[in-house]
Amino acid sequence: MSEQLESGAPTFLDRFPQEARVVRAALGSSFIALFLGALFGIVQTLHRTDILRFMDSSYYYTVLTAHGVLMVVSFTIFFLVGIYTWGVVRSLDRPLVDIRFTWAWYGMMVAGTLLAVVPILGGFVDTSELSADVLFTFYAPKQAHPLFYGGLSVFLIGTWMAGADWFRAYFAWRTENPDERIPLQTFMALVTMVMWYIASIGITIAVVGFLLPWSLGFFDQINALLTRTLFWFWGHPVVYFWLMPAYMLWYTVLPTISGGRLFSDPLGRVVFILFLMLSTPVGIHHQYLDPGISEGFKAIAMTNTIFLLLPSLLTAFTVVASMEHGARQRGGTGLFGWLRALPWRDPAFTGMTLAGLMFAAGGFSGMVNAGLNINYLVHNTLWVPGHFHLTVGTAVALTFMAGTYWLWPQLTNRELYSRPIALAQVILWFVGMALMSNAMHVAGLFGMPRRTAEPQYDGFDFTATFGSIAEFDLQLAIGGTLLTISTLMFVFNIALTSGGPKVSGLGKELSEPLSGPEDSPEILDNLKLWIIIALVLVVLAYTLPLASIIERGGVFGPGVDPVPMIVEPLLIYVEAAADESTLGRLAGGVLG
Amino acid sequence: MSKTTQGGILLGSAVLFVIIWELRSALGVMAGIDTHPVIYGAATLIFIILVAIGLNLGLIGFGETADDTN
Repeated sequence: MSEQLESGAPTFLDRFPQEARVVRAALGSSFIALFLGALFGIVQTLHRTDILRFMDSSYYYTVLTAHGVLMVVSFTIFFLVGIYTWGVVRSLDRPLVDIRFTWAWYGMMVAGTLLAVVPILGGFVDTSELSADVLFTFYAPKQAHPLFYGGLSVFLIGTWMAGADWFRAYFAWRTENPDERIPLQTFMALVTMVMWYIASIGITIAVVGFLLPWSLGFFDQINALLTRTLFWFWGHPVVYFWLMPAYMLWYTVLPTISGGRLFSDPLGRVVFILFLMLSTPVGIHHQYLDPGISEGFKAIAMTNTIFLLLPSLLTAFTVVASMEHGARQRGGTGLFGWLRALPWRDPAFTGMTLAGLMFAAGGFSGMVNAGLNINYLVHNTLWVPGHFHLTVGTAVALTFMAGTYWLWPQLTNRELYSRPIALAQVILWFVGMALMSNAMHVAGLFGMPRRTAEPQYDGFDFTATFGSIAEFDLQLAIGGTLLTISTLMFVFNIALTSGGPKVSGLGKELSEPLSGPEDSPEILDNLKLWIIIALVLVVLAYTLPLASIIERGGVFGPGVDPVPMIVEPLLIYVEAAADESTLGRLAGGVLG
Repeated sequence: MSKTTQGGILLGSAVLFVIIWELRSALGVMAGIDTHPVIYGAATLIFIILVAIGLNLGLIGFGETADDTN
């Protein structure tokens, strides 16, 4: 409880102190990962753009792996479990069933993160056998130390337990409220977790069945295409796993801080059901250039991916309609004049809105990625990081930071340290990401590759149809620097908030939707039905491709050795051949 | 007298900057127009500063606005 209960509504901390502690711990872990991930991000940015280098390029993949894993596994998913714990408890208006179980899954996630990060950082120590320079996309033939796969497995089990915790709370609530509709925030959390359980099938088989025993030396060969396909079985829905908590904030918090009410609760439920059904059977769209998968399966994945635009378009309509309602409640008038009546000085509102704006741009570049033919133009170029820095890097990350400005005071009974700094922070993120992502997209169109410390090959110049490569490198570095500064502003603002004096009455209620759950077809709450349909779609999308891959290459064939073992012999061969043969002269030209 | 808040000017300037800078890429990629980066960047910044000053002084604006304190 607050030390002084003066006036105003009780906060989440006042009402559910034990759960608030878990939420704070999860969000705090998330912010630590964000801070560390940002540091690795700026090192990588300045290195590959050749603006500032203070490490050898051989460490580039260590830095890149640390940046990727910390950002899109630790930062996003710790935030997810925190915000969903808050949403479930708040919307069910009851505590979790057993807080010890809650701390147990949080502990599992922390332990898993540490286990996975240790071998990644081991890559910096030349004398250490620990190494996990496998990037976030950790499929074969890249091989990591077993500890990395073990850590990820423990982390994953922790997330499963978190979902089980929320289902337990829901079942307990259902016993007490047999005729009530599932509250929207709980509905969103449960549907997200169902999607996560289905998506996890792929990565569980990949890690437990292949990657972990392979790294332990139980077998020598591995079917790289099979592990890639199983990875992307999970690797695309994980994008929605990151995104759906942001959607929950857009649907349930943003309308309230706009001064209005959610336009439609039923549309929110439809959107989440669509994500459940469509987010998994699309993973093959990440493998358009994989030679072992037929074009027909890729075309099916493309079609499913295009369908996935529908829930995002529905969300754009619903959220903007809710904001317009809020603006008109605040006195806004006119066709577009209502925009000026929105609370732009509120960092939570402005951050979420700018995140949504960036998400629209990310959706457009995502459509390019999804097109089977035009994807060939941008595949594995810098365009792709440009795209996902708009989606997960802004739509998700900026929404999480903006949502924190709204929620953190209710978890700590402390007022935000500085609203002006918070407002400047979200705007700086917007500008920094616009610069960085724009440079990445354009350089990608010019053919600049991703995932390399040395993008400018010797003896080869990229053809820039405007500007120059050096200019886009500089723009990328400036954008990355602004993002790092923005991250520091966020982390220190939250840290200073946590050290501030306790006050009372910081609680904020969420407004009721204009069209509530009573307008929503009851079938939407029939989770069993949607689970069955989602599983059927997954079976239809993946059975034949997986069967084809196994038939062609075998479960453990067709014989791919780990990447670190082939690089050195290859170079020795090329250098030896460079002496006199025709191949040698060609290779000699390449090597300079 | 300005009716636009400083927060609004900051946000508007940022959005305006991003739009104008993205236009440069659109001109370059779609129309093949190669604008000089330094001149384009400087002109963009000068334009945004002038707009921000105009908004702050109330020389440009859009009339009354609702109280946007929260």
